[in-house]
Amino acid sequence: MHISRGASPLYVDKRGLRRSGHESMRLTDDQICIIKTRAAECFGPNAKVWLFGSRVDDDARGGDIDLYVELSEPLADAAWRALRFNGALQQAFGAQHIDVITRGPSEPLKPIHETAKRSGVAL
Amino acid sequence: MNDLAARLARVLELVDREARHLAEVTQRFFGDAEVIDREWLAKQLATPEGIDRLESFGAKFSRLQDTLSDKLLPLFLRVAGELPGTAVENLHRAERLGIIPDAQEWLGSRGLRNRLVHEYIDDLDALAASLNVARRFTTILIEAAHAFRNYAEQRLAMFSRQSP
Repeated sequence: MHISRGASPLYVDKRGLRRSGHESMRLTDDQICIIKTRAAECFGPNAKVWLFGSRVDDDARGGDIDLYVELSEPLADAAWRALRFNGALQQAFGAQHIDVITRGPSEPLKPIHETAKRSGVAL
Repeated sequence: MNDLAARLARVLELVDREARHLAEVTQRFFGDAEVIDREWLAKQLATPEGIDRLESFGAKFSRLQDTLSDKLLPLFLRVAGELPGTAVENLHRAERLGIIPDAQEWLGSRGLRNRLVHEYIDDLDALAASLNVARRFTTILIEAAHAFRNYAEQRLAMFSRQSP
């Protein structure tokens, strides 16, 4: 369950403890900041990013970094920008397995997008 | 020629072959198609030959990328008298030497292979988008293969033992 409160969402974890959403993502604040900065550089300042997959599971360890990006404007070369975004994050975090899914404003919401938004955490 | 240089020569031979095979399958699969979209892709995947060509393209793309990044680059740096570092460091050195155009794009392209296989085939839009990127990156891989050879033949003997 997520309770949005400005830029710092609160999060009720599986044990019922309310804490900062960021603590439950298994990413550091620095990493989140890097992801948001690079996303803005690659996709424009209004792109929204969600972290989903094993990194939002408190009981998992390590794991891929799965990111879902919603674009605010249609970008013809979105897939190439996603490649550059992925590379920028690997440069910052060391070569890790990072998966990036993008959706343009006119693209339909597919099940994978829905899952990412529902189960993920907005950064 | 010392052992290291002989190994480099062998890996460069392998890279030449893999680059040629990738160029051939790229031509067989994409042909002269200008637009790779879900309609084009659906047509390719309607025949067993089309499916084979897609699989072959994905496999050869990944193979050349692995050989260049994991086999050739560290060995190349050693012959040049450098200590290979992490994958990220090595790619930046290759960029500084002018062998690859952009280390960041190269790193990002390593995730592409997983998007060129069957599990994504049910989403033809996503697969077509990945294929467009992979096709564009194929040119970069093949040009890098040639650049490694040119650099080794023209400059490595001169630079070896001089680099720190």
